[in-house]
Amino acid sequence: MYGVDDLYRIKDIVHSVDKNHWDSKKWLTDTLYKHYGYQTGKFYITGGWYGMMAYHIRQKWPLSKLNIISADCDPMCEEYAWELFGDCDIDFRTTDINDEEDLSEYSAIINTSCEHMEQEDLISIIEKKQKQTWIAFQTNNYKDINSHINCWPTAQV
Amino acid sequence: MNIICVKFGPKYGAEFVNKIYKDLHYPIDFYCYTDDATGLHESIKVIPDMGRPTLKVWWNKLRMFDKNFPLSGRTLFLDLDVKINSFPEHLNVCWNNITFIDCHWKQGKLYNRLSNYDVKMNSSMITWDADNSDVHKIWDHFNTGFRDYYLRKYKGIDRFIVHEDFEYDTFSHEYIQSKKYQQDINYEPIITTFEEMEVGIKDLI
Repeated sequence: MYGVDDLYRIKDIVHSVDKNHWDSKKWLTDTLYKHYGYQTGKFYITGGWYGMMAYHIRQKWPLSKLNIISADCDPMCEEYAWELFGDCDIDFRTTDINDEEDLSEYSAIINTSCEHMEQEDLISIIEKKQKQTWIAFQTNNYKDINSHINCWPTAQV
Repeated sequence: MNIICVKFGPKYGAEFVNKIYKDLHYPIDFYCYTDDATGLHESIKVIPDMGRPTLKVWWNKLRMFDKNFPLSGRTLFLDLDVKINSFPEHLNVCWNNITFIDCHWKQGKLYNRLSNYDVKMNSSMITWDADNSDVHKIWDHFNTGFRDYYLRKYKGIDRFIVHEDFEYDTFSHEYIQSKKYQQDINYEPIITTFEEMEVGIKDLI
């Protein structure tokens, strides 16, 4: 790896904010907002990448009464998320969701990176959360991409 | 010496593994690391999918370097799109180092550029000592929080190994023929690789 000179990071960051990602995350935010019904709470975003999902949440819930945590297991995601969205009152972290034993404090758990995650980990999140915690999971059907290990063919469950 | 192939996904069927097994005309410990052992020759020892992290296609080759992978000692890997010509029982390699194919036919500034571009190394044939902790570092380096990033950044394990600065030896050029890049040669290679080509089982006979 070329550390801070890793040129591919540039492409990866640009990709993370492209139209497809923007639109899909905004859709999730708008849909969650319709259902959630509160201006307070604590949201946990897993697989948060460089922070754009968290950014959309903050745009919809601008008050700091809604705490937002955005976590990714890639340490460089946290580093760049702070650079990109550090002024948005979001707590960026480097964490593997499997290391989060206690999900009871969260009022919603959001994951727009499901296609990158093991199915058993997604099920574990649901089993560990509180009954009243909202779940907003998003995947895609781009199964030919090597990092996509958990796609779903349609929008139907 | 262990000899191993890796077969994941539907692209290459059991007949490709069986052909390599049959073309090695001496008693060997032959393994296949696979997600589907259906149709494999009964004498091939199956190493079943080791589970998470879930990997796709050629990325499963990196699992061979996991210290928990159930092989010990000198090990030779062959890709399924390789034709065995005349394979010696003993290879002239340094077993202290992992050894790959040198793609000396790839010339020009296009190769080995910074970041994630194409490289002059090929993993169609690999030798290593499965107990070598330096080789385990390849898997340990891959299987971190950066794993998903590597899967996005690199097209395959060759680029990962080169651009992540792992040291390796290369085979003597006369061991290898690239079917695509070396159509006329004046030596007898022990294997012919069909890298970057669509290959059917009849091409390997």
